[in-house]
Amino acid sequence: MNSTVYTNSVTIISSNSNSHNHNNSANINNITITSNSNANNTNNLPASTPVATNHTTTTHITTTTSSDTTVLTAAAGGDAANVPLMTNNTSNKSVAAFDDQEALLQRAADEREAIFNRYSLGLDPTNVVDPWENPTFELYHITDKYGFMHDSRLPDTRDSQELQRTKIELERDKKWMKMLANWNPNNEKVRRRVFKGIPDRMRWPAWKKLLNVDELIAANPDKYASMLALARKYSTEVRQIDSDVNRQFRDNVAYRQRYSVKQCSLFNVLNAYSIYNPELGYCQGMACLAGVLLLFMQEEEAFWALNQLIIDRKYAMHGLFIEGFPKLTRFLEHHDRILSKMMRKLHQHFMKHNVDAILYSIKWFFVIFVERIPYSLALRVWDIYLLEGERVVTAMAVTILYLHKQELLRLKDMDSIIEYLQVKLHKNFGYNDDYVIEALERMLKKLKELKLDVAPPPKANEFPVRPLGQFVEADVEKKIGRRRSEYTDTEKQVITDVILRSEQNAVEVQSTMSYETSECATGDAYSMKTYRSITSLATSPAVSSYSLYSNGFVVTTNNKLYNDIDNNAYNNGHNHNHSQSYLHRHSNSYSYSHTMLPLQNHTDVDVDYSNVVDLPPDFNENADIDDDELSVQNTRL
Amino acid sequence: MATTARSGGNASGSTAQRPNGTQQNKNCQFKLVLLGESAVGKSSLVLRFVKGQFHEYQESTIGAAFLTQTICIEDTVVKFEIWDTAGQERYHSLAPMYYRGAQAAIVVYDIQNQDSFQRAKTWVKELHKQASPNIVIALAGNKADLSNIRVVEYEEAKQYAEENGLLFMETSAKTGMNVNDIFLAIAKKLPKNDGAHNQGAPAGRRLNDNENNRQTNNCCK
Ligand SMILES: Nc1nc2c(ncn2[C@@H]2O[C@H](COP(=O)(O)OP(=O)(O)O)[C@@H](O)[C@H]2O)c(=O)[nH]1
Ligand SMILES: [Mg+2]
Repeated sequence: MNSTVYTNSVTIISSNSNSHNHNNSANINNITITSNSNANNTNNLPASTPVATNHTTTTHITTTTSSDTTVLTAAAGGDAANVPLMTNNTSNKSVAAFDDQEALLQRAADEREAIFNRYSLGLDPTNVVDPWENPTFELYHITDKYGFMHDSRLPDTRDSQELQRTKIELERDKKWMKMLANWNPNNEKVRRRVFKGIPDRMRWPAWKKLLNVDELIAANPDKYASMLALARKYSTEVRQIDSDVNRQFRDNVAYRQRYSVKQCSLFNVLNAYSIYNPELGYCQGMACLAGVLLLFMQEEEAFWALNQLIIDRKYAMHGLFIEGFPKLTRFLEHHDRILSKMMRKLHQHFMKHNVDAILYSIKWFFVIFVERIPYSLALRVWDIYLLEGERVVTAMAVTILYLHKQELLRLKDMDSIIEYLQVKLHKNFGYNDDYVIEALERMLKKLKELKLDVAPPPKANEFPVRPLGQFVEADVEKKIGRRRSEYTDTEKQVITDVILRSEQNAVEVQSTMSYETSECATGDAYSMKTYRSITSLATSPAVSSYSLYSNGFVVTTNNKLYNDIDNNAYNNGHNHNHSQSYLHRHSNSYSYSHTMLPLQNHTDVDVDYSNVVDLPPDFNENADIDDDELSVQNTRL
Repeated sequence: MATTARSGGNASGSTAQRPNGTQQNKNCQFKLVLLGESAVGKSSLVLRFVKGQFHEYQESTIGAAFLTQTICIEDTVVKFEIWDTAGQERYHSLAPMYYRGAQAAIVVYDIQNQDSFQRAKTWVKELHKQASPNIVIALAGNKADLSNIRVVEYEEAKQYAEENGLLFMETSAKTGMNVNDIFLAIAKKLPKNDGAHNQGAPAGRRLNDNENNRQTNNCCK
């Protein structure tokens, strides 16, 4: 028998007429065909035969024949984890097999090997994929300049406006080439031109410069290759990465075809990175970041660019993606704070309809607005993000809400608000890119004036503890990919934080009743009920007795909560210096001056927490930034 | 949202006390959450239910997605607010955010993936422990179109569902099999109280459910 058999993969390929895979025989030796009466059930495929490996596992193999290639579809279905359990239907036996560590480890290893093999084969014709994985597409008529495909044909001819734009781009290309040759990121000219948008053709060199890519590669020769080699042997994230690569930007030509060059690069970069930075591993969302980078870079470049986004303090995305998402929580709180000060009406509107920021903004923070605003605009935001760092994300989030404030205020329920922010703005932002970027620039300035441009400082747990690139073999549980059934302490903390934050928002809503009352005046019975229930809420001790900022600083009169938090999460990893310096820098920023004090220093201090929820004297309803302040002419599309 | 059949302008879903006195349909609004391991087809099920479509290249869900769909059962208009969550283990800690105050949950596994079935059981346990006590849970064995390569037997899952008081169906987002049916079965099982009875009911339905009693929970007449 001369077959390629990937024991645990979706497709088991048995090719009778090729010699591409010399390791086939090794694999096939592990397979014994046994008979099983259950196997031939309702197949729409010609035959179904169960196959057992010598790891005491059985798998149903379905055989189809197409030309000279035999495709065997394994019951494991891309998921080696199934194998021990499908021997038969008696559950006690299944459990026994499930607990057999040896078998499970082998299963995980086989799966990893099989998936890697498929990516190594890439577009090789022997790498048979399900027919639906590569549909024919009307590529040339529906693909835009970024490679994204659309449902309907794009216009055939370019209009004069576009020709004009092309001409301007060519001019700008020249300027950029000169500027890149004498690169100095602190140059005001660079800043100005980045805000104008890096020309499409210049993004590759420009992004590499901004992310220091060439230097990193020079400083770490062979590092990427060795990480990738280790990943091949030890990655525990293969399955998740595989399933996400299979779903990432499939509407872009580069990623369209299963196992295309870009898909393989994406798979490699993410696996290699999970080895390079084991404390982070892989988290959904990273595929999107790497996916964007790879549209402009080569594989190894994208690896280092991704690392820069994750590790460099300017972007520090590590803390966004690790267990517990500490940076997400910190940025969401800051976002709420900005809204409550600058756009109180909208903030209250959201609170009234239970629109918590976490419900609409995760992608804003995790993947820098990709798939939440049009791609061309997202690239403009990325340009600026790469230059200026994380404060751009904060500012852009507020800019989006600011630009759409009127529409959002008109939407009177949660689902239309979320739909608007998650779906509608991606399809059509309603303003042209230049206009939005101008608004973003003004917002950055405005936030700086208000000392709100920078979120409170990170805690130490947002950064990796161990040096990167040092291989650490995963523990058995992780290798097997066994699921935990209990929450870890960090996770419990996250849950508490998330819940407390929404409660805190509820407090803020009830603390400012003007908005609600005005609605009550309309005589709407429902609003009146709402009004009452919120009013009664104000006296609920569970809500009003504390106020917590989950970045580890709490102002509270509730001792129990206080102690729990103290014990759970904040004993280690406090960065006192950071807090102090922050305190210093922001001494006249009203809320942090209280909240930034580390808990431990505080245990018997009775803090006046009312300051935390109250608004500073110079902010009130009228402090809403209004249209005069940030924008001018209406360039609605 | 284009797909929802709105009935009246009241966002809270209540058409109570219409001054004109005409008999209105009962109007209910439920929060439903989808849970289950990554890539079992949660997003695809929602897409099929809400838009009647299937995308082989469903983008992977980061955080969670929110959609609504309205269906009618007899004289009742039921609006589902659907939270489709991310399946990766790391996002697990965000899940309570979404199932808090939910009246219904669909726990999804992939019939060709035994681990995903185990994971589904863990979800059910967690819901029984942490979610609202009256939550209606349905178990969906998805990718039923691939039943020729199944590893989770129908009977096994069915028995588990019965023992745990779950609705159970094998579904296929790809072919549409049982997708509407499972939502319909849930809608039927959810309490559709009389408006009068429900009027002051404080059962919360969203994130700040315990504190913010300002949303109606069940049906309102
Ligand atoms: N054959 C088949 N594939 C499905 C079905 N439902 C989802 N899929 C595929 O499974 C993959 C994961 O689906 P997705 O909805 O993203 O899963 P989620 O992570 O649980 O939301 C996608 O490639 C889907 O096309 C189904 O019923 N049958
Ligand atoms: Mg999904």
